[in-house]
Amino acid sequence: MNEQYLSVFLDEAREYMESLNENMLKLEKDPEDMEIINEIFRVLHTLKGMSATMGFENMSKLCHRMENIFDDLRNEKMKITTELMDTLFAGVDAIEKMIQMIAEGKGDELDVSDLLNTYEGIIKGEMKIEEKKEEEKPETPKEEEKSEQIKEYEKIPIEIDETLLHTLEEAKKKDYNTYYVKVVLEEGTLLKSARMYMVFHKIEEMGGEVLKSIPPVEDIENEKFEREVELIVVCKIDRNKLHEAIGNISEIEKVIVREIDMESARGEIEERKVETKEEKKTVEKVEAKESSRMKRITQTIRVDIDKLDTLMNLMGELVIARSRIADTLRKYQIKEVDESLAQLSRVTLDLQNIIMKIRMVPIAFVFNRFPRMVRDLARRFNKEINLVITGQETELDRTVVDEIGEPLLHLLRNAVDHGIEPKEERIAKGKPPVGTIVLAARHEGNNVIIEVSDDGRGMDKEKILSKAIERGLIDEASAQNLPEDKIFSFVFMPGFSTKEDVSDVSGRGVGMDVVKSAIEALNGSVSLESKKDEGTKVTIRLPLTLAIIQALLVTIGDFVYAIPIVNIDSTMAASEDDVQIVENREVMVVRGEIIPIVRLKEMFGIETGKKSRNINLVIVKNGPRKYGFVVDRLLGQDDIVIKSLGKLLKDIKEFSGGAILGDGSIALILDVSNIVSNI
Amino acid sequence: MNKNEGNTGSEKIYEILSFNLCGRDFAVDVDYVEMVIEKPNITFVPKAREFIKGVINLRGRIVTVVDLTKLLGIEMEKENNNFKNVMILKVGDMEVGFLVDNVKEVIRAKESDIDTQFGSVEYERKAKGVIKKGDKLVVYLDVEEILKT
Repeated sequence: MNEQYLSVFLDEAREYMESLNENMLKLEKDPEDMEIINEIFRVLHTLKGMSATMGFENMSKLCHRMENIFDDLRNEKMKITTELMDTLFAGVDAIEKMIQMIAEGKGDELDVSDLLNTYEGIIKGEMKIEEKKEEEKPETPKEEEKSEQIKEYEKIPIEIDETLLHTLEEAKKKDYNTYYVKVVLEEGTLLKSARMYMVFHKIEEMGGEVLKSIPPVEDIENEKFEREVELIVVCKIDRNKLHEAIGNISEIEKVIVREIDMESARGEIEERKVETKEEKKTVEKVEAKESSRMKRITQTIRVDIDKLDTLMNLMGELVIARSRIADTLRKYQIKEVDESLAQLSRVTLDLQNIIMKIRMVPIAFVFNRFPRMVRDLARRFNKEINLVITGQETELDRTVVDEIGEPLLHLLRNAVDHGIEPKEERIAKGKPPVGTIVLAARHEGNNVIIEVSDDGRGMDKEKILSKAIERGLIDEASAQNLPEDKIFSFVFMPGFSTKEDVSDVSGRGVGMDVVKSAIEALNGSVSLESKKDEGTKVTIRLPLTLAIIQALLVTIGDFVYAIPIVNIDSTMAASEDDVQIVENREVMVVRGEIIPIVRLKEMFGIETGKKSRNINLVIVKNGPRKYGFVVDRLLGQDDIVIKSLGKLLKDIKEFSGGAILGDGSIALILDVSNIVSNI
Repeated sequence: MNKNEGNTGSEKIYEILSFNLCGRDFAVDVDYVEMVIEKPNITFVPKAREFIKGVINLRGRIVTVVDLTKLLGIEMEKENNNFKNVMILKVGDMEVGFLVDNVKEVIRAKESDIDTQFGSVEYERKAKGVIKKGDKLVVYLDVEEILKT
C-alpha cells in the first residue's frame, strides 16, 4: 500500500491508541460509565476499520474481538471485572505493539492467538447473539441495494466537455465500453482517500482507465471530498463485472455504473454552455464549505523536528532577503512598493512567530503515557494509587519535551515503588488507604516547573545523613547543622542509596543521579524535599532558554542588544543630574530605592561619543537587588529565539547568546546576573 | 591530513585554497571551506578577544568571524583594511568565518612542495609550512591549530 497512506494510518492509529488507553483507565475507575464504554467501542471499531482498509488483518481481527466484548458490555450482557480489565489491557498493549511493528515495516504479524481465544471464551461464555451479527455485515444485502439504485438517474450527472467526449468516442471505436461510475462510501469511513485509491487501483487492474473524476484526483488524495465520487471510466469489461469488482471493496455503500450515451452527452454540452456561469458560483460555495469542514477534522500532523529547524533557518533568510529589497527600493521612494513591502513585512513577521510557536508542544505529550504506567506498576506492587495530573497544557520547547520523559519516568517509578506504602501500612498509620501521586507542571517566570510528589512514607533525614557520613561525603561535625536541602541533595549523588538490604525499600536513590544529570543537561535543576511519613516532593526547574523568550531591545552604541523581560523591573528616562556618587559608585534614587548605575557602554568598551544629559535607564532585577542599566535607546519588546554564540565566544560571560532580529541583524542577549555579579 | 590525499605515485597531493590577506598569500585545506561570501554586516561583540571581529548571521546561524591578521600578528599595511569577503570554514561541528581580501585558487601541492621549516618560524604552529607558487610564497595554515587559540 502506498507510503503516504501508511503514515496517515500510523498517525491516526497512534492518536486512537492514546484515547483508548486514556478511556480504559477512566473505565477502570468508573466501570459503570456507559459513555466511556461507548467511546472505547467506537475507537475499537474505527481501528478495526482502518487496519482492515490497510490490509492488516491480524490487527483488525484483534480489534474486532475486543469490540465485541465492548458491545456486550454496552448491552449490559457482561460486567467489568479486574480480570477482564487486565485481559483487555493486554489487548490494548498487543495493538500498540502491532502499530509499532507496522511502523518499523514488520507488518502486524504478532501472535495473539492466546488473546483471541481468551476473548472468544469471554464472549461465548456470555452470549451467542454475536455470531448473527458477524454474518449480517459482509456480503448479502449489499449487492441488491447497490443494484437497485442504478436506474435512479436518467441522465449522467457529470459534465462531459468536448475533449472528453472526443476521447470517449475514440475509445468506443476501439471497442472500449464507456461508463459513468458513482461510488458512495459508507458513512464514517476513515482513510477515505485510501479507499478511493483502491477503487482506482481496481479499475486499472482490470485494464480500465479513469478519464475524469469529480472531485479531481488531487482533492481525493487530500481527502477533500464527502462520501461521493463520480468517475468517467473506459474499460473492456462489461458493466456488471465492473459493478461487482468495485462493490467488493469494503466500506463502499453504493456503486452506480451507467453506460454513457454519446448522443445525449453531445446534446448536453450545448445546453451546458449556457448554464456554466451560474453553476460555477455554486460549486465555489460548496468548496468553501468543504474546506472549512476539513480544518476541523485535521487537527494535528506530525513533523520531523529537523524540518522545523530548517524552516526556521529559511525563515531567517527570507527576512534578510526582504530587508535587502526594502533597502534597495528605499532609494526610489515608490509609494505602491512601500505598501506591499509593509504587507510583506507583516506576513513574514507572522510567519516567524508561527514557526516559533510550532516548536512548542504541550507537556501532555509526555504526561499522557504515565497514567497507564502508574496503574501497571501499582498493580504489580499491590498498591492502590491515585495519580493526579495537572498543568498538562503547559507548553515547552519540543527538544525539552523529548528529553524530559525518562527522568520523570524514574521519579514516578520511585514514588510508586518506594514512596507509597502498601494499603495495610497506610491504614495502620492512619493515612487514607489509597495513595496519591501528583504530577504537576506550570510556568513560573522564565521557567517551567514540574513537580512529582507523593503522600508516601517520605525519606529519613537521619538515615541519609549517616549514609553520607559513612561514605565520607561530609564529616560528622559539619553534618550537625546541615540545612535540610543540603541533606536531601545527597540523594542525587551517583550510587547513593539508603537501602540497607533488598527487602528494605525505605530508601530512594534509585537512579536519582541519572535524573539529575538528564535535567542538568537541559540546563535545568532538580531539588527534593521530604518529610517522614508525609511524603516526598521532587521539583524540576527547566529554563525556557532553548526556545523563545520575550526581550526588550535596546541600542548601545551602533548595535542592538536584548535584555530578557524576566530580568526587567521597569524602564525610565532620567537626567545625568539625578546620578549621585555614593562610596565611589554611581547610584540613583528611584522611588525611594538606591540603585547602582551600570554604564554598559563603558563596560563594553564602546566609544561614548557626545554625551547627552538625558539618559535612558532599564532597571533590572537580580534576586532582591536592582540595578540601572544605561542604554542609548529603547526600541521595544519582541519575541526572540536564543542561539548559541559558538565555541569561540564561550569565554564571554556578559552574553547568554544571540538572537536574529527581523531585519536579519544580530542582537546579543545580556546575561543580567553575570553582568551585575561583579558590581 | 588524510582527507586530501590524492595518490600520484607515492607522493600525497594536498588540495589547498589560497587567498589574499594584506598583500600576502595564505592557504587552507579546501575541505574545510564551506563557502565564500561577500562581507555582510558584522555585529561587534564586546569583551571578545582581540582577533574576534564579531558575529554574522549566516542563514539563521550565528557564526563568529575571525580577523586572521590579529591572530597571525600581521602588520596592517594600510589603516582600516576593509576586507571584501568572508570565507566560511567548517571544522568539526563549528562554523567560523575568516576575513579575507580575495580568494584566489585551488593549489595542488605535493608533500615535497611544502617547506615545513620556513613558515613555522614566523607563524609558530599556526602554519604547516610554505609553498612556492611561481615567484610568490603561500603560507599553508593549520586551521585546527588556529582555532585552538
